[in-house]
Amino acid sequence: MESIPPLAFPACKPKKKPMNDSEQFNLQRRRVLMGMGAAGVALAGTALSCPAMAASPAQVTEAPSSDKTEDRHAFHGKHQTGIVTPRPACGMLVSFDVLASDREDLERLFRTLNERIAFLMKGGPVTQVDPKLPPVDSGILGPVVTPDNLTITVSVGESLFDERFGLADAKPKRLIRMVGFPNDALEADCCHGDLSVQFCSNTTDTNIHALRDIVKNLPDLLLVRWKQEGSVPPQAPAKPGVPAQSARNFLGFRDGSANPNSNDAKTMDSIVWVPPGSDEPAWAANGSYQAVRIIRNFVERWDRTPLQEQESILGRVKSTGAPMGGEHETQVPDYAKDPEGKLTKLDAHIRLANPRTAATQANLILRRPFNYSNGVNKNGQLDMGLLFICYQADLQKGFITVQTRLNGEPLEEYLKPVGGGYFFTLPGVIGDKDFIGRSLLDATQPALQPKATA
Amino acid sequence: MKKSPLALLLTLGLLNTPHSAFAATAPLELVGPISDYKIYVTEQLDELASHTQQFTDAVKKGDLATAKKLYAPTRVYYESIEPIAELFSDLDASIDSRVDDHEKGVKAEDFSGFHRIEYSLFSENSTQGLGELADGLNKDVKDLQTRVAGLTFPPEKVVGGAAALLEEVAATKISGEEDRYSHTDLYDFQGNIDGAKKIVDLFRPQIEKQDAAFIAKVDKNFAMVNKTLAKYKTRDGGFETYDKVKENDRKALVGPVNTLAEDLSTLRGKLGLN
Amino acid sequence: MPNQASPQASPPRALRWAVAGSVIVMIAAGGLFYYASKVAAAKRQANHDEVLVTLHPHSCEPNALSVPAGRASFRIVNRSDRAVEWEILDGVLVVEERENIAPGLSQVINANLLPGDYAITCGLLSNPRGTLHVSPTAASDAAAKAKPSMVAFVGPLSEFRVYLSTQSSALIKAVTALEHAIEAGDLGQAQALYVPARAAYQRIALAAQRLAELDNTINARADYFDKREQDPGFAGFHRIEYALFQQRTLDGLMPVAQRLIADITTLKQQLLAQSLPPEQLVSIVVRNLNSLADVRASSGEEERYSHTDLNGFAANLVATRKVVELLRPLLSKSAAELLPKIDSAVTALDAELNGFKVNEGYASYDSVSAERRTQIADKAKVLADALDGIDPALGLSGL
Repeated sequence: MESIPPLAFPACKPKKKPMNDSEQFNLQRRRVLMGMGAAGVALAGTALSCPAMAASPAQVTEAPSSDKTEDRHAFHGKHQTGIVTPRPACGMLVSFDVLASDREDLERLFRTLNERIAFLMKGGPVTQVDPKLPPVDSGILGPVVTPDNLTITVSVGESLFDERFGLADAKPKRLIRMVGFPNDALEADCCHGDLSVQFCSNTTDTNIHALRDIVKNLPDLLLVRWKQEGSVPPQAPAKPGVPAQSARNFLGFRDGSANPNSNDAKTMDSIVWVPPGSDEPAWAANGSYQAVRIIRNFVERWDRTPLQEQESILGRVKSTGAPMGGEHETQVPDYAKDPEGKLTKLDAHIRLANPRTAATQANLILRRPFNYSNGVNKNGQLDMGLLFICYQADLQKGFITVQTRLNGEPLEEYLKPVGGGYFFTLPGVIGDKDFIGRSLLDATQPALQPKATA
Repeated sequence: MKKSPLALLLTLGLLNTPHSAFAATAPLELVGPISDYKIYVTEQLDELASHTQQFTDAVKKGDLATAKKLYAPTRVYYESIEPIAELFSDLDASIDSRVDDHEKGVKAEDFSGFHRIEYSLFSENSTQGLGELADGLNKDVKDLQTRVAGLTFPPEKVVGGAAALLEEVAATKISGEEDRYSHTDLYDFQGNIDGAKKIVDLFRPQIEKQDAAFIAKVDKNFAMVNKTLAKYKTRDGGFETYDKVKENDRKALVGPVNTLAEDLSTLRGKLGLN
Repeated sequence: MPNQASPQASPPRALRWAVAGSVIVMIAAGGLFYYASKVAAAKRQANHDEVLVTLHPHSCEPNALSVPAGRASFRIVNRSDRAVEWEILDGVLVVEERENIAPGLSQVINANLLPGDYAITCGLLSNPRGTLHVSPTAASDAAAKAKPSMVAFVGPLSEFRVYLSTQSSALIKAVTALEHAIEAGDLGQAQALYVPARAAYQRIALAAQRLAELDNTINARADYFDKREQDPGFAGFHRIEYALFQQRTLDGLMPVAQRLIADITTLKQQLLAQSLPPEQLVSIVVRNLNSLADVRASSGEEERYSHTDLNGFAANLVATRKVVELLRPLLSKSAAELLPKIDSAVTALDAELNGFKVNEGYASYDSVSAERRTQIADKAKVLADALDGIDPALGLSGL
């Protein structure tokens, strides 16, 4: 670690007594808590709001420091990571076309993916090769790859189950090619795919490093079809006893308030994971359905909408995320007491999405979205919105039913879904002998199946 | 059963929030402008119906030149009242959806209405096979007339319509995305602007009461937009195609359009409407 | 008065009994009379402070009235030799009225008045008007302060204004067509076109009748003029009706027709310019149907020469249905029990009128018997009473 020059005394008088060098050093570290660099100044408070302190004595191009680069998740498990794993600040969803020409290639694809994911999620030194050769790693994270909370989640699209690899009989029952909803304006270039890979970590660069690693290692087997990066705004750590709050989306509202408890295994078994012994193919047990939607928000128009109307469209109080008339985000709206929608309108987003009746308990989903910001449109308006990702055990009862209920909602004035797709998230990799996709390949071994009639 | 005025208010959800900064306009004062607006919309729809009949007649007759000529001047009557038409989303989709709204693009079976016909007329240069689409458009416009006649216009939708029209301009007319085959976007642009100005004019006395400086600013921005658009008027009362708009004029339009969108978004609040 | 018995001779027994009997009867009669007048007085007291107005042939007494705000009763005694109407006017708008008060009789008019200064009409149109001052009370001040938002009525009121605009335009067109026929010298055509023109008027009559001056020039019958049909002031629809159907001539009708067109053009402007609060929307319908029930159905005097009264009644019902439809959403929310009553009354009156249909039109009213006329009147009354329930149900007068 480079030495950090001692901080000069601030021009304004801090309230606390002057610190010694090591205290100031720690202060600087705390300042970049979540790897945010100068922006972290606002979080650490007290003396750090003085302009003199904000102009840190570190050099202009010094790497922002983070003490989270060594945070890691175990790759192996019954389920893949990146689903009930707490969502970090940065995510990226990449859709690929599989270029493999036969099952052998497909197996090589899966095994290589497995190897790369295992390495990237663990971290470690990069293999050095003769400098006359191109390096095997992009080098973005340096000679030692740090995991930085990375999870990589692999899902398969409906198109993979076509005639190419003999997988057709093993297709998950509810996996279909996404069909547009009435408000959609789907762009073919941003839709569907044979394979989706979800990268999540503390920083954009870690995700990009991982993507470039995978692309470099599978040039003949994968073609990037589309990708969408996103982020969520971090907050100061929750005070003890205070429930944590959902991150906000680009409409300025907390997003995920009604999510089921991802730490409760029973709930997740019922809502998210395909259970063993279900009507799904046996290999799919412990996997999940993944619905991805790139939903553009018309932010300029939203920002011109009266606050009252924003809240009535969503069905929540903007500042707290509480249901209408409530104080805390964690409160559950009581629709039985509000049958005519005087408090929470009948066509409010949250009420349509989850009417909270006994019957609609069957339609719960686990949301895990990110906010994306791409570019500028021809009309000078900003292209940003929600990279919506959700997981459920039954795609039909989950996302498709929920979105169908939402068709025609007032919020649609401000949204335009332009891309995404439906995928099946593969079951977890149990140990070193296992690899991602193995159960799918095993379930469709030609030798174990009767000769298929043409 | 008779309710006390307060109970009636509460059940109708009409009490202003405690933080309302604007005195509600006396509701009876809204009756005049709202009914005048409905009369205006009805007149616009009557024009739309008769122009659409002429337009589709030309299409069915195979008269490509006339059909092309009538396309843009017909649409103006729809664009001026778009916020009301949009209250009927199924009709808005079948009359005015653009190719982007359909996954299968031009080939989509449910792509109908003005822009689908526009595609054939201006991109394929043909009137072939448009019979059903032409009949459908006529039927939809008449259907819209009937539905609007039976609709009691909600006050907040009327007033909010001015802002909605400017959002239309900011999102699709500024960049020439509305009429991508014929490039007749300036007609639609003017239609949206005229429709928005009509609403402002109808509510002018009430707005002036609340904020006279505001209305002066809004007038100024409308004037700037109209002045720039006027540069592209043709002798027959139409407009040049969108590609003729100079970059500096496009920029000259963006500022006032965005500012009008911002200002008109406060109109409902200023009149004490939800 | 009991007979005085002579002081000396005692009267014969029968006579004594007769006298005693008649005394008892007299006392009883006196008692009954006393009881009846007490009841009558009590009834008047139930209308508290009835204001008595006597209409003489050319004046009213008193001609300057003053009452406190709120409910007031006016007893109008017609001491002239004509059937007259009596109105309370707020500027140009009629607030309350009673038509066809028969000579020699009296009628009570109840009104719910806001503070202000009003004019009152006084019999013949040529008679000078009186004044009515309504003074504010603590209750009316409180009501004015508590006046809540009426946003829920903006929709129905706007729709009604659009209705008035469209119907007025139709009226202008219809009368213009009539004028063309008159100009072309075609009596038969003019007679035919009188009917739709009248129907067009009757579809907005409920609102037109608020505009006292205009309604007089457009719609006044001959009786309201000193010299009746010969009065130079007699104009409008009924002057044309008189010429077309009684005199059977088009002579001198062009200026009348042109004046009528000018007046109904002004009428359209005025209808759109006058604001109509919610309670007025309902009260004009009730008033229109009450005049149908109480006066026009039985008299057949509205279309005295053309006997096209049924045509007008049907058009009044069209307007009534319009108002009911506009208020239906509010009624089904706040007065759900009232709606079926209104709907069935509308259906009943509609069926009654349809019974008189002949081809595209209606039977001539002189062929309609008194009993049938009573049936029409009764059904209109039931409907008027049902509609009268809207104001209290929606709390309109409290607004």
